[in-house]
Parts: sequence; C-alpha cells; structure tokens
Amino acid sequence: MRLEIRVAALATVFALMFGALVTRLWVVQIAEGPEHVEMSQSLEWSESESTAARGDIIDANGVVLATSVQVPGVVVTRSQIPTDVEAGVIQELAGVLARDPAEIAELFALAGSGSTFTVDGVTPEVAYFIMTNKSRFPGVSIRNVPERVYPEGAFMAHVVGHIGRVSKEDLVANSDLDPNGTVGKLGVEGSYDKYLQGEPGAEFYQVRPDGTPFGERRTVPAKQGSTVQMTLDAGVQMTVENALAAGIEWAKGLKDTDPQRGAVVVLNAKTGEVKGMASFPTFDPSQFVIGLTQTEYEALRDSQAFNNLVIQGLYPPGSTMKAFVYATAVEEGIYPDSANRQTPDGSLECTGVLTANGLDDGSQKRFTDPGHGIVDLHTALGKSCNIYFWEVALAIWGKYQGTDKENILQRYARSVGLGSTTGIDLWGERAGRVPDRQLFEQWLVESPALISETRKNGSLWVGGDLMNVAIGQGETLATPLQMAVGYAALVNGGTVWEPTVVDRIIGSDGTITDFQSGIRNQIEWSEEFENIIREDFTRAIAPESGTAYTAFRSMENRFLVGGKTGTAQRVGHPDSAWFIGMAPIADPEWVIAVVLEDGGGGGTSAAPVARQIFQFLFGEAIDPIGAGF
Amino acid sequence: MALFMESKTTSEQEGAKSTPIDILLLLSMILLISFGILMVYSASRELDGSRVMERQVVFAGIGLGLFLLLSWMDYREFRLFSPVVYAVTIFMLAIVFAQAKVAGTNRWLSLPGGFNLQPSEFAKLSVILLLAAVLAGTFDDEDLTWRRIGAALLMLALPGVLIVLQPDLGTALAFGFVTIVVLFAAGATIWQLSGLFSLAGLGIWIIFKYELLRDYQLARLTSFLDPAADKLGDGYNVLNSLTTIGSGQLFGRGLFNGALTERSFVPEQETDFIFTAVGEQLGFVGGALVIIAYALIILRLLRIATSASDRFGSLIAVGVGGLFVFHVVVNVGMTLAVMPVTGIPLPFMSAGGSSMLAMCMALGVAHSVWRHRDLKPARSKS
Repeated sequence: MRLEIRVAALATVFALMFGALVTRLWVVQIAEGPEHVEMSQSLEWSESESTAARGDIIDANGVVLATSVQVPGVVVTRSQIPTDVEAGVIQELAGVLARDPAEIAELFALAGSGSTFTVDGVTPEVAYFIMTNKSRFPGVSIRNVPERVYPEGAFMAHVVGHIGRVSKEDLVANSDLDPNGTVGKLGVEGSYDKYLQGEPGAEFYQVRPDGTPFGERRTVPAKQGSTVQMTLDAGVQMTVENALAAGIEWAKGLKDTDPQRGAVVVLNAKTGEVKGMASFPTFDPSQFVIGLTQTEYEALRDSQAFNNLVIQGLYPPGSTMKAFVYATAVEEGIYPDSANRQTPDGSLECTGVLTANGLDDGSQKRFTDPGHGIVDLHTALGKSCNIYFWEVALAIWGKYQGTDKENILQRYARSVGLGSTTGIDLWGERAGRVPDRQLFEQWLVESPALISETRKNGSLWVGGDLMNVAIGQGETLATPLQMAVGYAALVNGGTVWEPTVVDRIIGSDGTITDFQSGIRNQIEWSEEFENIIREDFTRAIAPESGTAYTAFRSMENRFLVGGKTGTAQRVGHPDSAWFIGMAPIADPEWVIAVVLEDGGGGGTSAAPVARQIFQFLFGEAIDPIGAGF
Repeated sequence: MALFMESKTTSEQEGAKSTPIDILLLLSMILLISFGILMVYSASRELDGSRVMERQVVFAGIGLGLFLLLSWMDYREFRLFSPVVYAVTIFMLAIVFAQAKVAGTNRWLSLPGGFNLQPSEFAKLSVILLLAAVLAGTFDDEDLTWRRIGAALLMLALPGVLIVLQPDLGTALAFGFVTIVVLFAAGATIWQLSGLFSLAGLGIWIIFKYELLRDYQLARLTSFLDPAADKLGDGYNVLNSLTTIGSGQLFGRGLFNGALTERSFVPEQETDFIFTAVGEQLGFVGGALVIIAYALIILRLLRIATSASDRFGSLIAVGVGGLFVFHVVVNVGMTLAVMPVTGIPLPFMSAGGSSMLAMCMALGVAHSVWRHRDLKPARSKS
C-alpha cells in the first residue's frame, strides 16, 4: 500500500473517532441537557470552617508558656442541619451534653445561621455517643478542635495574658475575627493576637436540596498561628516571682504595713528588652479556658489580679525621684544656695530642719527630716537626704520661678519617660504624671474638684509643690516600668527605651520576624554627670550609711550594684516601698524596679526583693529576704 | 477526505513558491491557545484570580517561540541526533525517581524557580521522533521488516518501562496508540499488525493474571463504564463533569457565567477537565468548534505526512497527528464519560507548562517537515 492510501485510511479512522466524540457531546448537551440543568440547579454549596490552632508563646530559651492541643469537640455546622429538624437537634444535644436546651439554643442563635461553631466540654463518652448515633445529630460532628493550654499555669501570667470569647468591641477592632472564636484579651495574647491567631481552614461541601452533604469537594487546611518568642527568661522570671511573693510575705510582718500588691520589672538597660516582669496578686490564664464563675471573676478583678501593676500601677515615686533631681542639678548647675547652710566646698549641713521663707504667702514654713550631717549632692543621694533635694528645688524656685525654666526639673523627669506611656508592646499601660503649674491650671478648668480651696483662693502652684516633686510626692505618679526605663537612661548613656517583651515571631512556615525595642529619646549627658552618676548610685548600697546597706549586706557582689530606695507616702495608706537597682554598675546591663504597695520602707521591704534577683543574676546563692536585718 | 487529497495537488502545483508557513495549522494552533487561556481564566479566577492564567500566557509565549524555532530547524537533524534524543529522554524519565513522590507518583521534576517539569509529556515527542527514525529505514521504499519492527519495540521498551513505573498509565497508553499509528503508516502488513496485537493481548492477559495494575489504575480504567457506581471515588469527577458539560446545552450559559465552573464543581477543571469549562459556558456550539479546530490541525498534519520529502518526515507528521488524536479523543471522551480518567491533558488548553511546551514543540517539528517538503529525498528508485 502506498503512503497516501495508508494516511487516507488513518484519516478515516480519526474522522470516525471525532465524529463519535461530537455525537457524544450532542447526546450529553442536547439530548440529556435538560436533565443535567435540573441536576445542576438542585445542588447547593455550603462551607464549614475549621479553627486554626493558636500559635505558641515561648520564653527567650524556648520554654513553652502557652500552646494549643487538639481535644475532641462537638462541632455544629448549621448549614448542614435542615431547618425543620434544628429544634430537635438542639434538644438531642442538650440531652447528651447535660445542658439546658435554652443554653444550647442560645449558642445556636449567637453563632448565627449557616455558621460553624464548637460546643466545648465534651467527654470521650459523649463524643462516642454522638459519633455512633449520627442520624440523631445531622450537622453535628466530633472533631479535634484546638484548645489553649498554659503549661505553667499562673507563671508569667500578666505577660502571657489570656484569651476569651470574641466580643463586639473585638470585632470592631478586627473584623477578620471569627465571631464564634477566641481572641487574646491581655498580655502578649492580646497585643500579639494577629500573629497568634493563624488562619482558619475550610471545608466546602455540596449539599442536596434536603440538606444532606454529598461529597467533600475541597479542604483548605487551617494554618497554625505564629510562635511568639518573648524577651523574658523563665529562669529570671521564676526568681522575680518568688522574690516578689517572699517580699510581700516579709513586709506583712513589718510594723505599719499592709502589703497586698506589688510589682517587679527586670529591664535590659542596653537593649530595652524586658527580662522579667511580675505583678502580685496574679491569676491562672487556664481559668479563662475552662470558664470562670461571675463570683470568681469579680473576686480576682477586685484584688487587681488582672492588672499588670508594672505598667498599670501608679505610685508616687518617692525618693527614687531624687535621681532625676540629681541629674537636673548636675546638668543645669543648680545647687542649694541658702546662705545659712552653704559650706566652702558646696556641701551643706543637714540638721533635720528646713525653714523656708516666703514660698507663697510670705509665711515661714518648717520641714523636718532625719538629720544627715554634712552632705553634698553625692552623699545626699546615697543617704536619700530630703533636705538637700528640697534645697535644690528651692534653688530652682528662687532662680526661675515664673519663668519658662520654672519646670526645668519636670522637663528632665519627662525626658527620661515620666508622665507618658513608655510604649511597651503590652496593652493597658498608664502614663502617670509629673505635676507643674500647667497641670493645675488645666485641672482648674476641667476638673476643679481636684483642687483644694486654699489653692483656688491663693496661688495655684507654689514652691512647696516643686519641693514635693523633688521627693516624688504630691501629685507625682509613675509606674515601675517608667522608673526602670528612666533609671536605665541615667546609666546607659542616655537611651530612653520603648521596651519590648517580644523578641521575635516565628511563622508556622519557619519565617522569622525580629522585633527590636524602639528608642523614644536619646539624651546627651554631660561628661561631669557620666563620670559620677554610677559611683553615686553605689552609695545607697556599699557604705553603712546607705539606705539599702542592710538589705544588700549579705550579697557577695554588692559592690557591683547601684540603686536608690524610695518610700512613698499616700494619704490614708501605709508607706509604699520602692527600690530601683542597676548592675553591673560600671556598665549596667540590668535595671530592676521593685514596688511593694503599702509595703513600708524602700530599704527594708523593696531592696531585699531586688537583692535576691541580683543574687540570681550574679549566680550567687539566694539569701532569704530577711537576711541582713 | 477530499480536502486533504485536493490540497496535495494544490501544493504540488505551487511548489517552492508557496508560502513556507502552513497558515491553517498556525491559525488553528493560535486560536486554540488563546481560547484555552480564556477558558483557564474562567475556570481558575474564583480561587486563584489571574495567577494561573498569567502563567499560562507565559507558557504560551515560550511554546510559540519553541514552535517557530523548531519550524525553522531542519527536522532531519533529529534523525542524526536520535541517539542524543534517546539518551536525554531516558535521563529525564529516570531522574524523576530521584525526587520525592508527589501524590504517589514520580511524575514531576522540580526545577529552580518553583517550576515543575513533567518529562513524560516531552517523552511523547521523543518517542515519535525515535519511532520515525527507526521505522523510516535507510531508503524510503524499503519494506518494513520484522527486524526493524523488533528494533523499534526494543527501543521503546526502556522509556515504556520507566513510564509504567512512575506510574503514568495515560502516557503509556499514548505510547501504544502512537506506535500503532506510526507502524501502520510505515507500511506494516496485516500479518505484522495482527502479530503485534496478539502480543499486546498476551501482555494484557499477563497484567491481569499477575495483577500488575495498581488498584487505582484499574478503578480509573473501569469507572467510566458506570460513573454512578462510586460517587465519591473516581466516578465523582466524571459525574460532576457530565453535569457541568450537560448543563451548557446548545449555546452554553455564557462566558464567566458558568455557575458550576465558578464553584470549581469539577476537580482539576483548569487542567485535565478544562473541557467542562468550555461545555458549560459555551455549550455544544463552543465544544464542537473546539473539536473542529483540533480536526483541522490533524488534517493538516496528515497532509504534511503525504507531502513530506522523505519517509522520516512523513512518519513524524503521522505520529504527531496520532498523538493529537489520542489526546483530544481521550481527554474530551473522559469529560463525556466515554473514556477512562487517565490524566491526559487537552493540548493547548489544559493549564500546565509541560503539556503546552511539548505540544508546541511537536507541532513545530511537524511544521519543519512541511517547510522542508521540497528537499530532494533519499530514494533508491523513481
């Protein structure tokens, strides 16, 4: 056979095949067409969402503080429940879950029509019963659903935070949230929620007109949320929490105290990273997973257990404020100038009494304090001599009263971060305040009730107010974190950090996003200040005259620690104890701020707490809080 | 039939003066590619936006470039370099086994840049070139001896085994179909063909006797007989496919108006089942026009076969023609539940780079045969 004939034969066969194909197409589309159209119209689609596992929260070394585990849950897909049997399904569910049908019906209503939601709290027996009686539970399935677990319980609770049901407010803030899901409410769980959430998966079904699904078409797996790695170190944190609890316990035994609350923060002065952060009393975030009764919730709320006092506790800073007065004095060259006290070398004699003339109304006022003998700026810091720092305030008042430099002290305080939030990556931080004439003028207009009648009738802002600022009293308020950030700026070359508790985000695909603490302000300290400030901070601890000498007496490396005590007074309350310490003092890496609310004297109650933490950081054995006293 | 017999005389009269490009072939190809891009977009836009379509446009561009490049090459080079073609084909088919399995098969070759190459698509063209080279013989009027047929089958054995091991049943069947078509065109006698069919029958008997087919392969081959038998298994695609195409009726529901296509009712609707998008949106009219466009390409390929300057060229054109017939009939037949689901893409239309490039290259080589038809053939007589 010739090629042409063979090709012609092939062409014939091919043509027959194509002819058959077109004929078949005709049959399917034209002859059977109406049948297929009817079928296509009877199909409905439905989708059911699957919850993404929330990402882990881990400490700087990988210790897991929050994770997700898969637990069996009753998942209701309303789109798969024929409307006429829904009421029956609710009854059946209520029966098997031993819950009130009204309660289950409310869950259905809350979730909305066509939605998918999880009914929590299912035992293996219930799961088995539902799985083996499928016909009684259309649209109900037992699926593994992620549940939040906090393996360390209350440990680091205020930083880790907790989750809760999505509220209307949450939806306003983030419309991507699943209204039937959970959302971070506090701590890292809250402020890093968008990283932790992950992406829900979905299953798309085809559903026959009677609502029965036929054939799973497409499954988009849920994407687990990112892991959030914190800057905090579980080892440091453990010491911090233990020391804080022990400190409060110790302070309870002291005279004129009533410590119920306290806060400690350990900040890295060189990076702005928070290494430890504890607030007392605390709570167990797991309770939000299992559910709290109204009474339990209210009891915790009233004790301020949910408040992170490191960023939300506002206290008069007391004598810890003096370090900022010190900085103002050195940088501005303002020293006590009362002629009667002046000694040839610039120091003054503290007799325990200060008599100031004509501060406001021309009368003479008398202030008292323990006598410290001959003090200069440096020894006054170590001994926390009120008289000396009052004299600095009076010098400022005398020189600048009524001028634009009247607030020079407050300006220094604000430049290191007081009076405004630090910008830490946690919610609910409070700003505190550094009072001045402008604040009182503002109050006079906005909330006159805050201002006493004497002020309204006399002068709004007087020299005595500035004296109060100088010793961190009056209307001065600050959080422990603000004080830690401010002290860090005094010893780290002037960097005012915007602190962070999160180091990095590790995506479920392994991608890493690093976070760094921001810098809110950079101060150029004078050489004179830089040369002496660190040494002067050791004066509170090393010499016997130091206010924290006793608290640190048992610590080996106490000569490497600097700090300042504070005893804040509040009307109608026992004193609150402050201590802010730094180490190693030559080039400080750690700044620790401790507050024991109503805990007594700073040197007696707060300093031993910080000392325990420093002992841990220096690798020493930790002495009991009361050691040295 | 008349069309291609007549065109032979026309072109002989025009001789060397005629346009060097086969306009009808090129136009049909471009038409199908453009139409395919539109269909891929309509089938993937809901889930992927324009991403899949954009990739398809890039592959179409590269494919057309390869088509032109091969058109301008002298196809006889492939005969000289057939050992190289053979070696490269075997190498590509072999290295997929060095990679991790995807969906239970070793079908894909991961390339840098996120591209996945499917060597079996290109192997189809290689097999045609090698079959043509072996079966053409030294002189165009030589009879086809058993010896030559034996050589061709021996040559096919290695790539065939590699394909079956992947396993890629569709490609293996394509090899078989193309081999029979090329053998017939090469002048196999009735006795030779029936001998080969007996051999194939024996082979199939052995496969069933020793259960060499994997369960899913057997299921796919038989499910089309009654797609309703297994609604969620292999018949599920086909049932949905029938509903989708059938609901298009005469004129279709209109472009971008296919309710089922929009919801990805048919799995793989932008790749293997792209014809369902045509059927639903453009109806019988659109579907028939697509089939006619393929018929035109195949007619032109057969025309090229009869006007080629040598038997090597003829067999290439016939082989490529056979390949297109196989792909179109099996793919469209699969969507219409008259062919098994074997993962055979619709040439130029199914989304996917390897198929697009391989089909463009196959047409390019055939077109080279057309462009070089006036070269003096090596003939011992006449």
